[in-house]
Amino acid sequence: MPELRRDPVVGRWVIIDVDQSKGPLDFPKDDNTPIRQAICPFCPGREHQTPPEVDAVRPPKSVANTPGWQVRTVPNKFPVLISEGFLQKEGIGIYDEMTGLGAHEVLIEGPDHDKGLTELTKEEMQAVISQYQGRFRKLSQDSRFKYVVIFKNFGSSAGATVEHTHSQLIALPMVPKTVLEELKGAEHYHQFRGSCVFCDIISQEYQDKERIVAENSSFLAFCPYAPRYAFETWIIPKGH
Amino acid sequence: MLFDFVYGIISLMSQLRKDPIVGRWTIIATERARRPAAFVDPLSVVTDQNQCSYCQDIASPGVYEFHGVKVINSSSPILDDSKPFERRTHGLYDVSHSYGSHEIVLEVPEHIANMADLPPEQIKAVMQTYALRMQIHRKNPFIEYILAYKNYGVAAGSRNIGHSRSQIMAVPVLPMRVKDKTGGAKQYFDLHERFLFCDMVTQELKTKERVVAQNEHFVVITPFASRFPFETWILPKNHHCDFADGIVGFEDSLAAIMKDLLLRFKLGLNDPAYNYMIQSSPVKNASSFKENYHWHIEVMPRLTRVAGFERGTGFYICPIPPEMSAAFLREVDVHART
Repeated sequence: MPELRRDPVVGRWVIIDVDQSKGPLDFPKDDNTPIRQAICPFCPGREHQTPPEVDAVRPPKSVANTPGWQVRTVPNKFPVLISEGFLQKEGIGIYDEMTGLGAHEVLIEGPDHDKGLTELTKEEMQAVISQYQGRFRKLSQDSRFKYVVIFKNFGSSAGATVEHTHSQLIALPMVPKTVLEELKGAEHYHQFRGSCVFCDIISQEYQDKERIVAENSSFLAFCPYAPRYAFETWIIPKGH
Repeated sequence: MLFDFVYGIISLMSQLRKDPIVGRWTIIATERARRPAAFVDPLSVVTDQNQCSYCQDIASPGVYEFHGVKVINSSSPILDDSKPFERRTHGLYDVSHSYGSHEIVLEVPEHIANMADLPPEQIKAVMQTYALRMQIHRKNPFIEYILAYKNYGVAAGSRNIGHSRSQIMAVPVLPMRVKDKTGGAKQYFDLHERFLFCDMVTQELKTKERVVAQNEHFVVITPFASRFPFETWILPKNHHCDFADGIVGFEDSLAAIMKDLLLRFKLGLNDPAYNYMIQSSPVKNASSFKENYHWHIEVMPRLTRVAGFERGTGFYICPIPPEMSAAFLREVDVHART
């Protein structure tokens, strides 16, 4: 079972992969070569190579774990957190530790190995988003989990190890540090100004106009005023 | 991440900008002009001694010289202290021009790549140079924090990978990570009336399972909640909040433990890219950090990549238990080569 450990200085939690940890000498050789189509476990027809699906967007009457799906969600075969059991906490001197309880799922965004997110049709993209929404709602109902994050790594320098288009979902037994900081910052701002910092950012971006990348009736894409990375962009809903 | 950008032909002045939500500062480094399209080109990497600008710089007059270590101003400075520091607002945003200083520390006249291969006396001179520069920068009333750090290897953010060097940045705002660290240590002291880092040293020396190496004055551990494989911290056994004042009398010990650790990386992990960051207390109101803070050095090889989960949550996944990393690094025979 993986462990969750808390840094005693800054309070940041980390997941320590105790069970399937690589040997020390695996790291320098780890070239992160993405898995090719010929052996891709996410391609239709290889459904048995992943753990059984927990949800999918597929035509009525089509059978789970067989081809025909549009979007498919499966538990990660190499999960960083384990969803069975309950949370156990332990203090070891100055340190705090918990059992690595959580969920780790893979959302396969389409059946075509060579089709990335940018090549999906509007309807295919909608299916991906509605699957995000469905899994988000489902896992939020589990009282053991306090936070759900959906994320995507595309390309080996972003940490992807499988080529086939996919996102991941991790449900955590605590609210992570970055989120706590955002909540605290937004609360502080609200106490000070009486308004929502995100809504005020949107107004300011409309006023300045120079950082807006794209928009539609409901969403705005812009480069934040104080970005960390070149070309960093945020998609923000216009409705609060 | 330091980043380069020029908008059209109008070169904006470099700025410090504050994220209005979490309060994190960013340097918008316009002076190191790169067109947006230039980001898609691979960065050229210099290894060849004939192309090494540092081999030439070492002969030119720098801002400081100390036992074969030379400090020069960065040729593409991210920070600039020629105009006084002035904060402004832009609507709900906070901004200033990027006040501060950015210096390159050329650690050795010879074209040697890795600090691990320098003699201990040279590493000592580098550490003393950091301390001396920190003592000078902290006299500037605008400066809030000084960071000495090293990027070794392409994966650690370096482009000239042939000539051992490090960098010193003096900034007029308190970085968020520094606030987190001093805040956490203060909270612990308020609760226990004991020093967090001293308790950590005591516990690590007792359990030994995360100790990589130690000498009379320093211990190297893999932290209990490591973010990265083989992440290590060099902790002084003596309590002191400030690096420049705290190393006095311990310079030889520090150089010895630094060389020992870097050799363990080089020999045990196949000469990986690495970063180190000297974590000292903020320079203003230093007396208020005396009890809470304990300077230390974070040293980490760059073997894995930070992906979406970590960026989205600040929550890290370490693929190897630090106890296993420590045991592996302990076993590396550093004396065989020295």
